[in-house]
Amino acid sequence: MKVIAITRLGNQVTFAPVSIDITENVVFSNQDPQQAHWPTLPTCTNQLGVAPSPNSSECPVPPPSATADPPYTVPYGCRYHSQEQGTINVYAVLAADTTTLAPAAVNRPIGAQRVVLGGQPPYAISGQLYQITDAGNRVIQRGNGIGPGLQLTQGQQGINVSGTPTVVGTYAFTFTVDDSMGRNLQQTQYTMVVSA
Amino acid sequence: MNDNAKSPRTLVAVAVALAFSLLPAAPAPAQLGSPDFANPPEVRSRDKERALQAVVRIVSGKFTIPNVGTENLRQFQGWDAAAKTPPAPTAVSPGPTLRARLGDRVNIAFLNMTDDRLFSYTFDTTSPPGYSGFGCDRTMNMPKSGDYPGPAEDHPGIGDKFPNCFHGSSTANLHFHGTHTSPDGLSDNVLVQVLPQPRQPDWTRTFQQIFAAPTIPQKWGDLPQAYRDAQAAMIRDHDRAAAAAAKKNNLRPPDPLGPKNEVRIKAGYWPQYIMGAYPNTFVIPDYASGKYKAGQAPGTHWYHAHKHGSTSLHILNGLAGVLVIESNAEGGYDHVIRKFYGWGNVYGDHEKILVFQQYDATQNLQRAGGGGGKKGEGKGSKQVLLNGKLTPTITMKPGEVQLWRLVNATEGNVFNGGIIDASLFTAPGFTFRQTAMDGVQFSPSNYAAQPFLGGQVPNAGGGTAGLTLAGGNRADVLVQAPAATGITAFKSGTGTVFFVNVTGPAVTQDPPFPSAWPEMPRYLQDLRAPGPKDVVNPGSPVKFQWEQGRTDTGLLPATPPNYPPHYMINNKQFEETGPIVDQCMPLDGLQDWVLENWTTVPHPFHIHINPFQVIRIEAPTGPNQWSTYTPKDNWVWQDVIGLPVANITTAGQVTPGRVTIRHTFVDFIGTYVLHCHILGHEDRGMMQLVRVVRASQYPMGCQGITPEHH
Repeated sequence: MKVIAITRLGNQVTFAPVSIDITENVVFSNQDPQQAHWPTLPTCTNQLGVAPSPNSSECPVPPPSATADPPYTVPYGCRYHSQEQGTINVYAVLAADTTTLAPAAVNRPIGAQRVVLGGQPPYAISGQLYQITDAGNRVIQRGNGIGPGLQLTQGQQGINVSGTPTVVGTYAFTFTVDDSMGRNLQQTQYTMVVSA
Repeated sequence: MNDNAKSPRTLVAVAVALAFSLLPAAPAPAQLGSPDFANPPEVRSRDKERALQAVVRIVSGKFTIPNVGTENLRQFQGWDAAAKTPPAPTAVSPGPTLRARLGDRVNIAFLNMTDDRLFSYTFDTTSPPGYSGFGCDRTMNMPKSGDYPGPAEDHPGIGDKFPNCFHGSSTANLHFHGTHTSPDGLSDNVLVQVLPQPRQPDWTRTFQQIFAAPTIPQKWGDLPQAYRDAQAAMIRDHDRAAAAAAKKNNLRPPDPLGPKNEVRIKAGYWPQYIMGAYPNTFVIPDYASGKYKAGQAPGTHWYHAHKHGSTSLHILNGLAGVLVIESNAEGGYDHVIRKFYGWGNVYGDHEKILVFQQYDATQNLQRAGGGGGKKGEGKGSKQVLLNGKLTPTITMKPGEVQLWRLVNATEGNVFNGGIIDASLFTAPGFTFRQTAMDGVQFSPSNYAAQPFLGGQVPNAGGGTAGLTLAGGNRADVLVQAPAATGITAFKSGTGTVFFVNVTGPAVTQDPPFPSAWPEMPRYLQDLRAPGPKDVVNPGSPVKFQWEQGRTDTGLLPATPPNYPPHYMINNKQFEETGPIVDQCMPLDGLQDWVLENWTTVPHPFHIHINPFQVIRIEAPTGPNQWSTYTPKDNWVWQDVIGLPVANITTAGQVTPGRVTIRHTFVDFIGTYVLHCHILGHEDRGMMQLVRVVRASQYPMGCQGITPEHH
């Protein structure tokens, strides 16, 4: 749930832009000490007074059409003040994509494979950890990163793994993702078998 | 310097990297990124004062939920009253574990410092007469087919009706779940509503005056005049502000609270609405003192916010913590365990507090599409965290024994992992011995027979029998690690909840568990069967129901169309028409109740103040057929029990699940509740008001002035 602040600076009233994922609702909070406002989001019919209790009910954010898939933008205005406009950016849920990567051969480049999708880019990646096990499931290497020769790269619609694995064994790795709207993904376990 | 030359610093780094990367072969860790397990922070009773002196406040703001992100939430934060106020946390966590002993005084300055500007607009009351639906939280202009069931004004004929809807979520209180204490006044009073107040007067001296008094105030007039006057003034200010805010929001003003308080105070009762701060205080009854007919059972109990209409959202925000009550006397529960293992006077690392929670900012029914639509439920409602962490790792030595205190503090939603499943105790190589259920120790017979882990007690949901924890259940379990090292995933159903890493030098513990187990204290021995002189409960059977004709959960395809179940008990919702005290018992009454489940949801029945013994469980196996579990004695004490699901034929014939409980209502008169511990059901009406009156006032005193709602 995100709070959309309505603020005033001089004669300018701003409905703060907000980004949510598709499971989230929004709440409007009128912090304008001078006027009431009335966002015309179809699912939210509160007239918003001024302090001390200026918040709306929880408002679901509908898609622009029944078939629309995120990301999409929902524009809205103020019933009282036509010049006041706001937007809500709706993204897919930040989630793991492929967790079992295609088998690879040692010292040969792999094609980029998407491992995270959704959320709002850009992403902050941290906590990269890996381990490599042999055929007997014994750990032969572990450390920071996602494994020798592999790296994470950001795309418009997620995070990809690419590179050239340099060790024979089963790569296992994880990392933490924080997207630009405060969503978090962690402890997903990814694996890739690298053969000789 | 060429590329092959390395500085000393680089060489050190390379050496460290090599040492880290060229490890001897070892079993593969099961989970990368798993954080270390840690018990919640703790506030202990003070030895000399024989009192727990704590501040527990609700703070609000942005908190990080692992694997979800940052959300506006309300959280408990607590500390010893003599310590400085710590900085507000930023990561989710249960409240502090409160640890006290039998006979101790518990003094908690409860401060509701919620900043309600961070949350949606929400009412505490509606407008008379009747239950107009005004006051319910709304997800505005939802489709009339009704993904979210209410309120009635948005969904004529099918919407939720105040007070049985989500509402008033910035108001709170404290329920001490599992305690045997007064339900009134300053004790386990869930009928009081403490309104939010981010900036508060300093009540330290006033509350200390209350806490230092040798007797606990029994009447509102016993409290310091300054506190009572300030409360009256603040409630008046609140009423004015609420009316103004409602008007500005184009809404009718809610009922003013001040006049409601005045009516109750003049009638000799406690006011129901309090601004900001409440001095919770009670004594933990020690049976050995000779003052009580039933003592407090020492064990694993817990506390959580319990304000009707917002219990589910509060528990999803994480407003829960553990209350450990110890018996350290010779032969007492804790004394026996620690003495056997040589753990000394405190448990230390040998004890693990496991609080299972699901953190979310919104109930599933308030999301568009909840119940299968496009948006669906939040990720936080679907993942079970342990002490605020995602799949942490407990460390044990090979062969080591630890005492695990497990608390199901989830919302209880049975479809989202809200039941901690019996599969948790099937981890290979580990051995388990349950010592207590719901904070009440096992009898020697049950300690030997292990009715839950041994699979004798049927699963309310119809699944594999074993030790399952419905919302609100607790269990104490001694756990021995296997001799072999390695990491094991502990799963509830198919989802991993935590890992145990068995590592280090082996520990010899032989035998692994106490071979002799203490007899039950006198007050926990089997209750006798009610006789002809015992007052029979006219409110039994207690039927957990939904609308007549409904055959399943989800959206009802009949007329009226497409709405989720309305939950009720004995054909009505909480506080609906008629006498609103639904169950009234004389003090010292001894009664058998039959609990019936007429739905396909294993509702966890919970009653406050006095635990009960489970005499009989009847699980339907077909139309008019049941499988019956009837231990002949040594009935397990519980305060939450999942009710076996009904068998409902496609023609609508219902064969209810049944549980027979036996309980006695001793030591405390007052008004409290029983309810479903799937807390969304409680908020939406699956609750009854319960009252215990002196025998001389039974039944005349059953329907006197009652709280408006809680």
